[in-house]
Amino acid sequence: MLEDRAFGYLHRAFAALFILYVLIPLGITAVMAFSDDNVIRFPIRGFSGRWFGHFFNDAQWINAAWNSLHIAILTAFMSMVLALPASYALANGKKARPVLQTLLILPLFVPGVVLGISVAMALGSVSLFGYDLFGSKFLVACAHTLWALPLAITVLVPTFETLDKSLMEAAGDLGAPPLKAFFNVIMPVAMTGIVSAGLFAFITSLNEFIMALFLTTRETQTLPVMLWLSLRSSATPQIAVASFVLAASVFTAVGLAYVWYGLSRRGRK
Amino acid sequence: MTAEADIVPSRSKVSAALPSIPWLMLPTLVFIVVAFGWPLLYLLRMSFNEHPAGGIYVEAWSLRNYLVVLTEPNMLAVIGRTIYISLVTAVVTVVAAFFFAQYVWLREGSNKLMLLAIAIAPMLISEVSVIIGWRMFFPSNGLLSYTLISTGLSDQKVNLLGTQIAAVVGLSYISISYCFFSILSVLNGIDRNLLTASADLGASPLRTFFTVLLPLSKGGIAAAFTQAFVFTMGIYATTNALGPDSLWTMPYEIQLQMLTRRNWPMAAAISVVLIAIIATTALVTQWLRHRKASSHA
Repeated sequence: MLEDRAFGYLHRAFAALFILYVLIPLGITAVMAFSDDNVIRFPIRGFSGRWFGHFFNDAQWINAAWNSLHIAILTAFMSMVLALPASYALANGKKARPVLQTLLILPLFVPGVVLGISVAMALGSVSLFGYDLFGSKFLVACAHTLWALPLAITVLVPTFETLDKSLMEAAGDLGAPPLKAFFNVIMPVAMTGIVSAGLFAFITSLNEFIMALFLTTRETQTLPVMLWLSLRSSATPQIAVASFVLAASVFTAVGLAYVWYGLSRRGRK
Repeated sequence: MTAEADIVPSRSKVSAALPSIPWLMLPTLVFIVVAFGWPLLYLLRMSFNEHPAGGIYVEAWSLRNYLVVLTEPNMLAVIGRTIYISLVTAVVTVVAAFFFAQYVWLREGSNKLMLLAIAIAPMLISEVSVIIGWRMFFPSNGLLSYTLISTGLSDQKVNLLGTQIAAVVGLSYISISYCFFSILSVLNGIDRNLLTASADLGASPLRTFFTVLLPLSKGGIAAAFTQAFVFTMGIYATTNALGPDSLWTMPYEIQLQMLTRRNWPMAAAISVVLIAIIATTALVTQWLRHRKASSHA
């Protein structure tokens, strides 16, 4: 019995340490972003929002933040356009399903650095309608979609699988064409899965910076790429502010989705 | 008779209303072929090219790059270090993820939700933010050093930035959420009463752990281990920014050849070898798991 208790305490202590481990990088960034000091160091001598002022008045950081947002929205859009029909087909198909699903998950296991240089080598010199692919936000979004698409499919296939198959049949019986049936009947029921898949795609793109490093120019640089490039040269709390802004955008997106989920559940009741 | 005749055409319309399945896959397959298949084939082709002094590449069919990657002592050391740091990270990550998953598995209610939210957090943070966070913790003017001095645990500044410890801490942060959920999903399938039964029969907690819990969660642990190993094999930013300069890994070598040396064929050859190692690891663990599963049946 004594031994039981001892292990219980040990386990609890370990869990506390784990929680501390997860929270340290987050907490430290949030605190340092509000430091008034000129260099990153502890103890913090005073607090102010002046580094936020510097960040939001710096054209290059703001440009990078907008690039990130554009690329993340484009990635989420492309992933959904591709993942919705594919997941629906996978959920309803039987024959080639395991092979296809494995094929679609494959890019997730290829390191970002390898995907980045492959796409840069193979598609970097291509121009479409006189518009160079290299350095374009579109090419970065394509690379990010390679990771976002498998994630979206992993969320959407189980969502479509749990749907009642007779819904689509009933819509067909009542004369709805496939697309209309999909948008009016399937979409509303599967909305939670669809929103989570889109959110996953958006966050994946917003955070990714290795592929983007190989595919962007100074003009299309994303926020995490710029953070990575200024990691060693910048010693001021401004880098903590930029990192804070990036993490805060992700948590805002998750928070909004959560609020939407709460509201839509209440609406249904 | 007329009623039946009406039903039959409308039935065939039903199958028309269900769009034919292969066509729905088409856009995704085209995308994967163009943005994934073609670049990887291009990479493979590039790895056989040659690198002229002052240029980027000239077309050739040579095995010289592979010979360099697989025989030169420097390159072998790079491959060895990559595997070593990935193994260490995978072991540490899986152990930490396992005990936290077990802790969460044994809780209930709103407490459990809080713990789950904490376990998801590392998945939501960019690798670069993780790096920046730990770079404010480990150096001599960072939080760790300050805490140790102000609590009297150390009388001088401590610097852990640029050590293997810092590298493993950072690398582990990146795959820990995935490992946690792989293990938790397996634990969720285990009847918690088994632990109570084992204790009632007089087994010590350690014995219950090793003879009941561990064998039952083997599958999840293996999956989590593979995940952590494969993820870490491909990372260079964290290793490079938190670890020592001597911890020079394959992904780092790839970006160096690509960006600094402008030697595309060599970058491609190292990438192909890296993918081969990752694929072999994934296939071997898959095979081991299937063999075990079939020998049990």
